[in-house]
Amino acid sequence: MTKASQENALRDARYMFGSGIDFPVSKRARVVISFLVGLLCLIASPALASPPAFDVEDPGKALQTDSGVIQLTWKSDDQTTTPQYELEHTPPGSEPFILPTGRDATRVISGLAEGDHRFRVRRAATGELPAGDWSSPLQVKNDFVERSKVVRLLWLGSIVVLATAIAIIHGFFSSRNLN
Amino acid sequence: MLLPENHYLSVAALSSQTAWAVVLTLSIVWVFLGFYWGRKAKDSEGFMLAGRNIGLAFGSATVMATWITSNTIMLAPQFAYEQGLWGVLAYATASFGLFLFAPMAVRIRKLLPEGTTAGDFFHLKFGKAGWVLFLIITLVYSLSWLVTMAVAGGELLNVLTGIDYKVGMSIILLVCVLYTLFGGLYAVVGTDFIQSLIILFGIILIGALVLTRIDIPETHSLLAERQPMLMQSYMPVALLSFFNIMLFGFGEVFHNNVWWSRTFAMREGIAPKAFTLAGLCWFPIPIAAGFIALSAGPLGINVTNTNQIGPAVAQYVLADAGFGAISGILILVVLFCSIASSIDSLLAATSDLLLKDVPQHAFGKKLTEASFRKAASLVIIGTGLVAWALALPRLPLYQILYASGPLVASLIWPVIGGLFWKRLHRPTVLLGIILACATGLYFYFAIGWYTASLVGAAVSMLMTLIARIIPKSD
Repeated sequence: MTKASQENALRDARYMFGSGIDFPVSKRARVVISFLVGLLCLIASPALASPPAFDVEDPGKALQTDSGVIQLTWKSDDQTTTPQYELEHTPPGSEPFILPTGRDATRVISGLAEGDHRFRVRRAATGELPAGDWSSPLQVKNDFVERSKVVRLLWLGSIVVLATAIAIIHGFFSSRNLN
Repeated sequence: MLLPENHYLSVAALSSQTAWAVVLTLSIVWVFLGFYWGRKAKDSEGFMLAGRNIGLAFGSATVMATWITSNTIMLAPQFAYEQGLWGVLAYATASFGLFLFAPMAVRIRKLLPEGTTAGDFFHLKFGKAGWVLFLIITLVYSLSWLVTMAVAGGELLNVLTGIDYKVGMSIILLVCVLYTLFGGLYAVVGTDFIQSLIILFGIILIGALVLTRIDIPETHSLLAERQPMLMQSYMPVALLSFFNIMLFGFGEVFHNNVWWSRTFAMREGIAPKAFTLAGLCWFPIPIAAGFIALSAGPLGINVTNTNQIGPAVAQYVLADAGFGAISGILILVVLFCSIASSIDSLLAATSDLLLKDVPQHAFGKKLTEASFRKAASLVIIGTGLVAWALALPRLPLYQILYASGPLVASLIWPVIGGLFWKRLHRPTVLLGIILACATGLYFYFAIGWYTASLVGAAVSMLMTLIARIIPKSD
């Protein structure tokens, strides 16, 4: 938590007890209660922080990939000193699973199957701190290169490589007696 | 056994003192060895071709070490993580270029018994226009390779040790420039021999440790569940890159003076054996490096930058095996060696081209023995400075190199035709090279890097075959 937000929490507590409700307590007790409430705000504020948000131009629009690889990054206003994150990945037609990312607010996802994938991110539970709320989901659509195009290029590759090898081997044997 | 899921990792840094101690020790050792071996270089032939007296052990070691670049250590794991098993195999096919160059080396020695550079061959077979075309392509490719090595060196030192990128990149380049300057090919081959042993030891050790740290059936099932395409036989991008990388490798090896100068520098009959042996030793290295990266997910490692996945997993596994601070040192030494072994070769081979080819084939003059060493120093320093200036902006690691893929692939068939065929219509071959470069670059930008070299090689093949049929006019 930053110094500024600590001061904000304490200022809020002072405001509540200083000018809001008139409690029949002594001045010393009022100071103690103010301190305790301030402390409570300090502890509770990370849990109340808004969930992380994916760093994308249009959150409602699915990201596209044709290679099965995508890098996801997210932002968070979580004031916890060292927030750790976990990413939930729901592949098409499968159960979701959790990917821990530690303190990194980014992860390169690879080996994606073809289809629509859903991702959510949240602050992970650490020590006494419970897990945060999930972010809004992000859709990722993986569409591989057309199969017909792949097959055509594979044929071309096979022909070129085979022809290259044959030309070299044939050239080697036929040029052994040449100068 | 798999580690707890909540493990995450970024590449850990060595302490500043340790990092500087390792970097300075390596730098001093390589410069000293360069100076020591360089005393053998009494004349230009000694400096450029190590007296044409390299044997099998040094020959195969220098070929292998040169081919193990930072790309092998950094890109092979990246391919594995992004493209799975096919990606690993695709990268390993780069060794096929070395295998196929072995029979070509026999013909090269026969055709050019007194040859010094690849430029000699292009000038002999395709005239001045062909030589100019070759020079442009090879300089673009060699400089982009050199710059990517320098960028990778700076980034690695930065990630592993915290040394500023510009300082780290400058140190690696400076060290390589210094020992190449003192010792020429003698220094390059000698240091390559030691560097290849260090690299092999490091990769085998890390690969073996990864094997002891993971449960293979469990790793397989986790990958199948969470990254299913990495284990699939139909992985489109990986399948396409399979032939693309292979042809890129062919183009790199067949045309570049790095390999031609080694062919000329080896004793009679050694080159074919050395290239085959180097290919055999190199083949498992990207597979081992890729295997290390495939285990990143199951080990619970959060991958934030695929460029650094190899060192990140290696760092984690070594640290987990109780190597402590030594793990960082070991990775730093292996990577420093892999980068230096390529930079020195590129510096020497590119400088040879500029030193010998440009005066001879462009102006019809040869450098005298008296002026050679001074000119060599100026050219090596100049090449190093150009690479340094281009590496300063920290350009992306492999986009630049892959863009040069179609350029080198366009030279595969002209080299084969020039070596083995008597009849070849020269203008058609040259037109083929230009068309292949243009088409390959178009595909690179329009479809993807994984088609560029393939298309470039195909166009060049077609045109060279046509050039064989057309009656020779000159």
